Amino acid sequence: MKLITRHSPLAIHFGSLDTRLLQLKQGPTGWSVSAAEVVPGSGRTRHTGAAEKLAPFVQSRQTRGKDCLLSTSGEELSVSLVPVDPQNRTRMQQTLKETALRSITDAEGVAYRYLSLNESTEEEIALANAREELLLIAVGQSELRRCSTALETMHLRPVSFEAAAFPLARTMQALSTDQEDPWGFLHLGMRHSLFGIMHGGEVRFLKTMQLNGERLMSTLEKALSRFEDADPDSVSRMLTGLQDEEEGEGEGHIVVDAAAVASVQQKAIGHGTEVLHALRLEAEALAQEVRACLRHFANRHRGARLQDLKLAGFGAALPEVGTALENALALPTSIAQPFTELGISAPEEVLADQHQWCIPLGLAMRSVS
Amino acid sequence: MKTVDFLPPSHFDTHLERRRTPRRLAILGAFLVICGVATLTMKLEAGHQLNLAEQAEAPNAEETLAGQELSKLYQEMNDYVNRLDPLADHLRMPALGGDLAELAGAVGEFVQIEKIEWKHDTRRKGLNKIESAEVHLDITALVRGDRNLIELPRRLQEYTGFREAFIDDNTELVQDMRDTVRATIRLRTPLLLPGFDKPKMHNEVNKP
Repeated sequence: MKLITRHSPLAIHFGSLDTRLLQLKQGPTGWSVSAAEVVPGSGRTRHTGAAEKLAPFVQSRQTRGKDCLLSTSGEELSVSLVPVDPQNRTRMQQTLKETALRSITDAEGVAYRYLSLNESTEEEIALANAREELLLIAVGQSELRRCSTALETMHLRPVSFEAAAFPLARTMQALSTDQEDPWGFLHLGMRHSLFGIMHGGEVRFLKTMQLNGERLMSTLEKALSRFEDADPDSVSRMLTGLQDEEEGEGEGHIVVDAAAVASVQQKAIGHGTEVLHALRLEAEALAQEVRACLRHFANRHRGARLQDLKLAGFGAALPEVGTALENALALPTSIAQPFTELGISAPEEVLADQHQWCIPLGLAMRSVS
Repeated sequence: MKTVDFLPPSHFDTHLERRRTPRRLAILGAFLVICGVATLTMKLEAGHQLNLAEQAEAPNAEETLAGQELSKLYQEMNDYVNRLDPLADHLRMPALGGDLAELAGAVGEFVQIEKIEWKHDTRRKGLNKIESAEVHLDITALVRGDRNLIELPRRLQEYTGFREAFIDDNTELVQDMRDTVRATIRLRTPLLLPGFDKPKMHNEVNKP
């Protein structure tokens, strides 16, 4: 008998394209989604816009509780691997601080956290006089403030502000509990992408990658424009929105939505080979990056090999992306379907793009798993 | 799984503590339910006992009827009381069956019992008043030797527990038996009759 509250805390992820709110509920038949909401919005004012749109939803008691687990888009964070040699261990803190300040530019300051990626404990590393590898993650204080202010607007209480990679890794870990060998995950966000390697239930490697959803969409747009019957209105509309935002004219007006992606997917039907060919170069570039990461990981972990790769994020479900990456990486690659695989009942709209709900789901699972 | 959290760890620890609160409430609720059930049980038991006590105190038709029948029975018995009382009195008299069984051994050697007489002796004053009452036990026996004869009343008194024992004057010699006499030992003890507070013996003049 579990005598704790049946609702998970609220999970809010301020993504680069939209803000997602998720709450789980435990019932006799297992977990289910009790609240799920997506609010479009991008740019630095997306927090305020999302808060204004989500506040009625929260205040109408469609959610339970005030505790909220937060994360923000990976593009607002800086992820760095910092090797620390034994002789430099005494000035490690100084090195980390300098690296964090270099990686983020924010007038209000920079907050940073780090954790060791080594499987050995700090004492074992010190005894072995080995090089320690630290994962440094930094975020601007202004981003923290914007997130906190948005929550205050919704009368919610922030209890955690995790770097997006960790809730994502938590979700992926829940899908791979029985895997003993290292496995990887690739989050293809709109403006950023992250590649991580998990082993023993912990993040052992994390790196920001060059390929992202925006580049994939651009490539698709070019590929689709070659076909006469393809009218890439939705893609153009999306790219227009992106350009507007880049120029600072239309913050919060990105128009990439489910309909646009569905339109692209519709237009790609029947042109799989061509799309695959168009994505080949991007996939190959990504594969080179991933292979470099794997070489590094193998050197650090006695030749360990990746068992498989799970995809998540906006770009994961774009036409033929999974196949292109699988071909390039020569690794079993699958798009994450966390709700289906974990048996969490969810509304149709959530099940339709489960790969984009991995981060909110990982946030919600932090205090219930 | 280790994570990177930009808020202080105390925030999340406090959140976990808050999530346990319903569990605490549930435990407290369960305790209250147990207390409530115990209280209710005690209340029901107290009510049950009160009901039993009230029923015990209340007039009982069967009991009343039985009482009436018993009274009627006593009333009918009163008609036979004159015949039943002497019988009851007689049954209450002391019996000597136990003493007689071992009497032959108690008299000792060289004593041959010939006759035993036993009776209740009551002296009345007037028609109804009983002045004194005794139990008389007279044992006639052939006794050899003077010393044996002299000690016989004491032995019989010790054996029977009677208050008095003496040799009757009518002692006679026995033909062809030297040093042997036929004597009667008389034993007396007070008899507590029904209706008396204490036993009272006769005021005899001819006792030794």
